[in-house]
Amino acid sequence: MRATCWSGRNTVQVEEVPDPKLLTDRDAIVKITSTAICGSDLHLYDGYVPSMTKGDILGHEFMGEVVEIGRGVGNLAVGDRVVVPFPIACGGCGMCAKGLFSVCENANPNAGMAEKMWGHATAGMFGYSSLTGGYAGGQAEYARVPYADVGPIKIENDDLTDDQVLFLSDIFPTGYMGAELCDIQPGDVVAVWGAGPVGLFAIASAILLGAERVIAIDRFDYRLDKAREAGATHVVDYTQVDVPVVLKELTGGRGPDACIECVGMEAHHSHPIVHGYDRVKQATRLETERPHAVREAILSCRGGGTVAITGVFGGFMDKFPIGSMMNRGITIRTGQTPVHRYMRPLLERIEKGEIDPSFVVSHHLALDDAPKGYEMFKHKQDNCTKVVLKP
Amino acid sequence: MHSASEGVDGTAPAVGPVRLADALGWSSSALGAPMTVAPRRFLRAIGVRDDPKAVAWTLGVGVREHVATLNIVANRQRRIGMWSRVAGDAMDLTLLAAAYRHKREDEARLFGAMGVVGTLLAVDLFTAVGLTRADGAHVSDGSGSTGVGVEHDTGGGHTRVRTAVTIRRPEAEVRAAFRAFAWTAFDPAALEASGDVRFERAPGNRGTEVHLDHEPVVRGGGLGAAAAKAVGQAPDQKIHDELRRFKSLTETGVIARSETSPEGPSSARQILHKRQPAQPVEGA
Ligand SMILES: NC(=O)c1ccc[n+]([C@@H]2O[C@H](COP(=O)([O-])OP(=O)(O)OC[C@H]3O[C@@H](n4cnc5c(N)ncnc54)[C@H](O)[C@@H]3O)[C@@H](O)[C@H]2O)c1
Ligand SMILES: [Zn+2]
Ligand SMILES: [Zn+2]
Repeated sequence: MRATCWSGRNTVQVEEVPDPKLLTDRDAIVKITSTAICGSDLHLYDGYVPSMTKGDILGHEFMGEVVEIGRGVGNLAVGDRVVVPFPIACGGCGMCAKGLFSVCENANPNAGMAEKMWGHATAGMFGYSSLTGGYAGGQAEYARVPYADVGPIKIENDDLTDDQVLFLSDIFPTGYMGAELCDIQPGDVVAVWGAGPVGLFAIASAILLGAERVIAIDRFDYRLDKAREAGATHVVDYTQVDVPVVLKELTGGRGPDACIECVGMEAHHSHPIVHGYDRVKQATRLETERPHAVREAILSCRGGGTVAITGVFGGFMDKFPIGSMMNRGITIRTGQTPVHRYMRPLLERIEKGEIDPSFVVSHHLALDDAPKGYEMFKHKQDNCTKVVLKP
Repeated sequence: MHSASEGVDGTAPAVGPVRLADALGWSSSALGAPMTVAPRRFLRAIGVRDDPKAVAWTLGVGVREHVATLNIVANRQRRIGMWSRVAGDAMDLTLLAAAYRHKREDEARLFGAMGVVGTLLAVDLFTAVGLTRADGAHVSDGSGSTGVGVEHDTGGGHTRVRTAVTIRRPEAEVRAAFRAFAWTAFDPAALEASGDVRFERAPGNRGTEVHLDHEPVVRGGGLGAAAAKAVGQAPDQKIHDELRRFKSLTETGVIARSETSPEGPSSARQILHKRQPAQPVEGA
């Protein structure tokens, strides 16, 4: 089959690789109909996630048709149309029992590696380095889906297009989780860093959950326009202003009640010296992150407020404003999204017409054009917000 | 890994070597600064001719000193940093000896420099050994603590493995599964008989905790043990791999298999993970 393979920093190639086969009774094989490129893939593409191997198949946001199932998968049949959540979780361990699917205790065979770095391991994840299990990803014609009786959600309503349900695999639940972690109360003002796909869903979700105002922060006008479309009441270009100052102004001096960080380890800073400081430290591996948005979110948040971090980080950061956080009682909440528990309720919201996730899509490309898709998405060319690949 | 600075120890708190390491770490930069800022003056001060080659070496050593500070103080890689310092001192002595033969300007000063480096070598060695000892020291229970997940060398090559895992199943079922599982790392019956394995109820209805406190037989002495560890076959690695598989099988009926670890949790695979990309394996 054809598959998008990581081949070193800033290169992916669509290559011919062996077709997947069932490895356990609880696996299924899915023939992929739509698969997207995520901001998380850019961290791999840019070479900031350790333990990648040349040839690793990328992709963790995909859907398609079940073409083969293991004996242990009772709830699916060949021909079913399914969306697959990006975390791979067993459904049987103590964490899964609590709904914490992204920290499943069984599904990551390389948990030992992850423990060395993070103390405890995460669940498995599709196409996301050896640390998260070394699973082949879904930017391909087919994918093997482990624990297929636990993860995939069947889409029975044929009126829903792929673009409308595909993002149940990751970014819609992720943005939604960001907003949900903020415990939004009526009248709340929420600020969202990053108007990429995750930020856009965080904005839309904050509105769904009752925020009165949502302030979007990014530097690309076309993304800020999308943010308005998603429901943002205010937009801020962080290259033009001092964000914490503007946020104070926009909130009558209080600061946002909640801040959602949707940028991750490769944040950009408009001040060349600050940007350079973290850029150099990251390049020389003295810190693994460029965490401007996290710092800014903590400093901007009102006392006792919540900062939800949805952006992905890998290791260690520098100049973490713990004084601001501690003295003012800021709550930080975060996590790889336990997608499984959001899929059903969010599918219901889509079916009820409360949200149409397809608004984030800017490009459809053939699978073979994946390298072009990565470049466009990375460099924000041609007003790119989200690329969907069609195998 | 248990780092010395945590001092959970009880028996041999490693505060001494850690403080020393940090002080030495800072001193690296103090020494490196004149080498990188004014290499010529530095060379004259230690009685060596300041020809271009000597200057280049001095700059190199200066940079190395700054890296040592970063490693030891900023990155807290104290043990590795200190052993690098020991190697660096040895290298510096060699360089000074070479300078004595070919670029001597002032014998007294050069001897002075050698004396300083020699002393540093002794202090560095003392600190590095101290840190290494502390890292391998036995971590004591603490009253009531189960020492869960702690694993360590007791020194002398023997490895005592102390670890625990929670299985979301009632005790009787876990005991039965424990006897039935195909362990290669140990004999389950012998472990139960010797009390090296204990089963306890996990609080909050979370099933059963399996506690292991076991000293496996290490074959082939220190060298053999190191070789086994390097390829993921050391007894403690095997125990951890098999415990994970046991948990997975008991809780889910299958073992997690990925494209890079098709046989499930495997230390060997994790060490060699670069060999095999995450792609379906032909004919698997
Ligand atoms: N927690 C999870 O489970 C999860 C799931 C999916 C994605 N993510 C992460 O979410 C993050 C965003 O993903 P995405 O797909 O939207 O990526 P993206 O790269 O398209 O979006 C990031 C946006 O942040 C903006 N940005 C950069 N620096 C900024 C700054 N200092 N202030 C404000 N905005 C800034 C960029 O201009 C860009 O528009 C990534 O880190 C991704 O890995 C996490
Ligand atoms: Zn994603
Ligand atoms: Zn689980």
